[in-house]
Amino acid sequence: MIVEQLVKYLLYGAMVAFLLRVAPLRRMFHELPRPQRRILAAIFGLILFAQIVESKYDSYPFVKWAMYSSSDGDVTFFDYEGILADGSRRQFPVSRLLRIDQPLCPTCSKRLVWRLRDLGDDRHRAESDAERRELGERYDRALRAAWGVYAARHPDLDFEEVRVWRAHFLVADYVDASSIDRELVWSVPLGGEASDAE
Amino acid sequence: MLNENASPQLLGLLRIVVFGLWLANVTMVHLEDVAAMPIDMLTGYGVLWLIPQPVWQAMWDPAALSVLKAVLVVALAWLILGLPRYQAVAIVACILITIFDGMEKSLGHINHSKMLMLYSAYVLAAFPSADAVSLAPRRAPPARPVMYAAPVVAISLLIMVAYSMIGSFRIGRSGPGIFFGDGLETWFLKRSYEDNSTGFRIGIYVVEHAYLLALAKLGFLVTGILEVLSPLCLVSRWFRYAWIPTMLAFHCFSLLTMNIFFWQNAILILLVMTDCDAWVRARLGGGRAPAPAVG
Repeated sequence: MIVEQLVKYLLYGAMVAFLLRVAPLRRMFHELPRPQRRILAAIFGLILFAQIVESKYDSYPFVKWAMYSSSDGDVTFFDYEGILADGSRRQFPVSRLLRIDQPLCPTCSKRLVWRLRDLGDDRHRAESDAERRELGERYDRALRAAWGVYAARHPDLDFEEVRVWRAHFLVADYVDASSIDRELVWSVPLGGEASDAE
Repeated sequence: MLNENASPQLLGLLRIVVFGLWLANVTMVHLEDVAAMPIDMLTGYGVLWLIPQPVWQAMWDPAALSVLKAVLVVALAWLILGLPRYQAVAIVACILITIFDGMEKSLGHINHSKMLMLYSAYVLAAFPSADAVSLAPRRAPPARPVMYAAPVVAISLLIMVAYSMIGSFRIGRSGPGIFFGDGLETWFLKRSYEDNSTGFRIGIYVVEHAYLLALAKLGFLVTGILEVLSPLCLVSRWFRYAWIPTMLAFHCFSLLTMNIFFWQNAILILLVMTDCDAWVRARLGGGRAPAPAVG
């Protein structure tokens, strides 16, 4: 942990030290009027601060920059399935529900996918029945709200139920799609109470 | 130094592109869909915490969202066209896009998506970015050359610093082993199997073919090294010749294997990292570049 932090700080420090030694950059900065110097110093200072303290939620819009930095070899994701009145099944595309995609900006739409995944994971890991019940209620509300968005856009589809399947595998054991274990963890009958299938 | 003598024309083009990207974002992101989710799922993070809770809840009303969007569309169009009172409108626009982006991210999972666009907007608001490539009459006399070059250099630095920090964080967090372990497989499989709106499954194909996976890991290592060394782009043209295609290829490869695409960053890289000022100046009527400072 300490070594990890030291390495990061050394690399950040090397980056800053290098930039401070670029003479044309220093000259340009000093030629600027004071307001612009302060604004640029504030922007870069806050970016560096958020990175050093590894903050994103509290310091938004200044967030830590981290991507693909760790892995536990565990893949868990959730699939959502709608059951129609005639018994047929249809994939419930959570990633396409909220029109927060720009063209080719799949990251935006993933927010709902990841949020529902986290709610599902939190409920799966609940340590007490009371906690499980409370998290289950939040999960149910979120799923019903998401389904409501989908149903409003597809009034022709008569859904009776939404089912949530938890898919899991370890990368070390992965061969192909048959390596994925799926279990039904939640079902939301759209006319009644949800049931915990776990 | 990269962009040391950047012209008002390059700065003007940068203004159009950055605020144009935000206009595209604002018109295509439907916050009213986010408003359909339970309000307790929507949290105002960071500076948005300053918004009182009753006001925050009222902001999710469809009428309020429509007003926010309409004001932003007008403000961003104003900035793109370079109309008068640029700086005042830019400051208001920067505040509103911070709120808009924060509302979109209130579902959770704050990440650095669109942050380079946001910080670039902040920089552009602080400088005379509408003195060229604009419908407003050019100010007389023009600002000093450093007032046009500095924001372009600053935005280039934003890119270099961001990419360097990503690479440094990765190496610090997991050591060099992150490039040789099962990290890449995990991310390829997770992002390909989980629900996503682009639907690429090439990541699964790569994992299931050992030679492709080995190549991907080699590419990941090269990209990681270049990321950490990104600030060298400021002073070395030859390093930029390696860095730019590698990062652009990395972004394209990330889309195909992980359904993640920071295409706005790719556009910013092409505009501010390729030293294209002479090309832009020739096409937007800026004349020859001034001679670089001696010493």
